[in-house]
Amino acid sequence: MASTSSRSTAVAEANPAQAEAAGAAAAATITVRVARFDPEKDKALRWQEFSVPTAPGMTVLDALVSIKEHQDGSLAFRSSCRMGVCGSCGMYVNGKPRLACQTQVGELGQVIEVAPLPNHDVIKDLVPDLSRTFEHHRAIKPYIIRDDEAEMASPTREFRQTPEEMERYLQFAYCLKCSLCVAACPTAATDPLFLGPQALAQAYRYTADTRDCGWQERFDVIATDHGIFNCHLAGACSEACPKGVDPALGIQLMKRTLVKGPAHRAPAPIVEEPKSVIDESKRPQAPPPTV
Amino acid sequence: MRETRLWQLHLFSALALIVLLSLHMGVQHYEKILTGLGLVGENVRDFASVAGRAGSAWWNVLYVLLLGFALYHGLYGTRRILHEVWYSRRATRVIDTLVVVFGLAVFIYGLWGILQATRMGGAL
Repeated sequence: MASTSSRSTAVAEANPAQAEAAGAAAAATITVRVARFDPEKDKALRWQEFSVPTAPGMTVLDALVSIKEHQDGSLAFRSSCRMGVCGSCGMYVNGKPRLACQTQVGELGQVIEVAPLPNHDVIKDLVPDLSRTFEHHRAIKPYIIRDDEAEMASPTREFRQTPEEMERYLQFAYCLKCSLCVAACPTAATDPLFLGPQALAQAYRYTADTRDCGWQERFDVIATDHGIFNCHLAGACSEACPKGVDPALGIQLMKRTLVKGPAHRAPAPIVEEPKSVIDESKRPQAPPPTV
Repeated sequence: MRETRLWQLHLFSALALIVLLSLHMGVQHYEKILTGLGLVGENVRDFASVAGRAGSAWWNVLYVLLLGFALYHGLYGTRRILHEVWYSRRATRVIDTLVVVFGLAVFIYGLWGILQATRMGGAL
């Protein structure tokens, strides 16, 4: 605080107009309309308005934290990392599914509407129930499946995979499981049994992985009545993804894989045992531990 | 894999419809172009011309295929939409059964119509 005050004084002495503008910016407020829902009291969402003082670089999550700290401690929302990595703070901000921690209030205008993610049940206020997304994700077996169970149980070495082979699925591996794509999906809006873009893109991510050979098990899950062929290819999922993953592309590639089979017919083998071993004896050794 | 085959057939029927509908529309509605190219005679919608086509095996095969592919393509799409509107597992089975029964009934009725036209065309 002391350093901020002294900097302000210095600016005021140097340029009074600039100091006035800085003061005005500090005093600026925005209106945040928040959808509230208490399962014990409410039958439907209701809106509540808060006036929040803004600061440069403020995010929607910062605004919600400010409301919770200074105005209404009962406001419920979910957040964790505050840096767009964990995917906890997915919300419907000004009509679009976004991560609250990645959305600057300065981009949104004077009035900001924040609601829970569509296509999800609401637990409380801005907290969506993500259990269906996780259920669908679990259903497509999101892990490497191999036929050499002994190697899987107690691995001896790495599985061979070239950088080019990794490129085939890499972008889909950035999925946060934030469920913004499901919130944007028009098919998920009408059909709760639809597997959804998140799970379907992840089905492609693991099927395209050359270390995997569990495609038939995934085909049985996704090529069903409410599976991959229900996708309308609206592309809203790809627009919504905060990490630049393109689930719509993943779904199209998965459809091709269903028809033609995966590019690899057998899972990648483990790397060979090295033929020559580097002589470690001549390398300088780390000093012995002092504690 | 059943759904994959049904979807593949849906795509194939779309391609087939482009060809079959182009032929149908070309002959029925753009006859001036075909006449200009010397591919058909004039007055393709005269009774004699229609009856002549009805008696032709090639045209009948074309119309049976058009009927089948159009029905399949349309009903597959309808089924997908209905699956989203009524999404319980039981509803899915009921919709599938109704779509198959309706599709077969309309196809048989259409087939009967084409056979009747063939008989009339052949009688002329």
